Formats: sequence, C-alpha cells, structure tokens
Amino acid sequence: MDKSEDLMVIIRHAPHNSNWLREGLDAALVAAAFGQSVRLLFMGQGALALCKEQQAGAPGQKATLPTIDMLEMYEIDQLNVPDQTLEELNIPLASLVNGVTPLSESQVKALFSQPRLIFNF
Amino acid sequence: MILHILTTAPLSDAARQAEQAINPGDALLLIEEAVSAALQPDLDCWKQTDYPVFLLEEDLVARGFANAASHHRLATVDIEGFVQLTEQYEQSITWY
Repeated sequence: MDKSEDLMVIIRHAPHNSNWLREGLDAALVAAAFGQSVRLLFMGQGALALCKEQQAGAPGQKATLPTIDMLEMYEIDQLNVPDQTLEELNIPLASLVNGVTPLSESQVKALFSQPRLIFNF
Repeated sequence: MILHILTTAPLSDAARQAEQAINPGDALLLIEEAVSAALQPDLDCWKQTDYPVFLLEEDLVARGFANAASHHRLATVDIEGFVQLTEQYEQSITWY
C-alpha cells in the first residue's frame, strides 16, 4: 500500500434501496473536487453498486451507475471490495465495472490501520 | 487506533463489517441494539483479546440486560466513559 489517501469512503448500501449510496458517492466526489485523494471501499450490500448491468430503475430513483463511471473523471481510481463480500454475495469480479480491486481479509484490515479520514456510508 | 462504535445486533451485516475492519489496539463500543451481545457471552468478540469491548450501561439498563452483563462479567461504560473513549482514540467509526 503506497502513501494512504486523504480520505476513505466506505460504501455499505446497495443502489435503489436507499439514498445512502448516493450520499456516499457524493461525499467522495466533493472531496475529490477539492483535491483530496479518495479511496472507496465497497463492503456488504455496497458491492452491488458496482454491478455493471445496472439500469436507471423506477422513475425518481436516480441511477447510480453513471456516478460510478464518473469517479474516474475525478481521479478516484482506488475501488476496493473484500474477497469475502464477493463470495458472500456470490458475484464474480467480471460482473463488476472495471477498475475494481478485490482485497484479502488482511489487506482490508490494513486499510483501517493507516492514518486517514474515514467516512462510513 | 480507532474506536469502532456498533449500533446493530451481533451477526448483523454491520457487526460483521466492523469485525473485518477492527485491528489489534482498536476498541469496540456496543451501543443501542448492539448491547444485546451481553446475552451471548460465547460470541467471538468476548472471546478474543486483541481489542477491548465495552457495552454502554444506559442502553443495557434500558433493555433490561444490565444483570446479564454483570452476570457474564462483561465490561461496561457509562455515558461519561463513552466520552472518555472518544478522547482516548484518535478516530471513531460508527457501524450502523
């Protein structure tokens, strides 16, 4: 792990079911817009935010996949998900958007032992 | 050195995520619904010794678990103790 980023945002909620995902992504984008380096860690149901076959969903439920695609434009390219989460949700890495790096249990723990600001959504 | 605050029941998603994130030298504070862990002394969090685990007294009393916690000799803090923990650890993360 190189120098740790300024901010890590943990995303733990799935798309469409609530606003938590959108708010987490917005927080990450705002931080990046202000020049902070940001890492996103998708845990539990949050990993579903990375499924590349997502659609807009019912009217009024703003889709979040476009936001995920926009992360790169804000130089947020550290997208992580624990191996354990992929196993539990039974999602292959190939069904996720590109640029997602799975992490082992010890790598996930290491993320929390480095000094940085952490937001939990 | 992070104070992890858990507000949901043992074995919930958030509880398992907190477990994935916590490192030796951190601390775990159980509040609100999480204090039901006082009823199960054989949970992993009570068995491990890498980090201290505390139950919030006010929430134990509210739910009628105070006797269970003392019977199983589990560590508790009151609201002042909660504040002291937030001062003692550089950062806190709430799992909800």
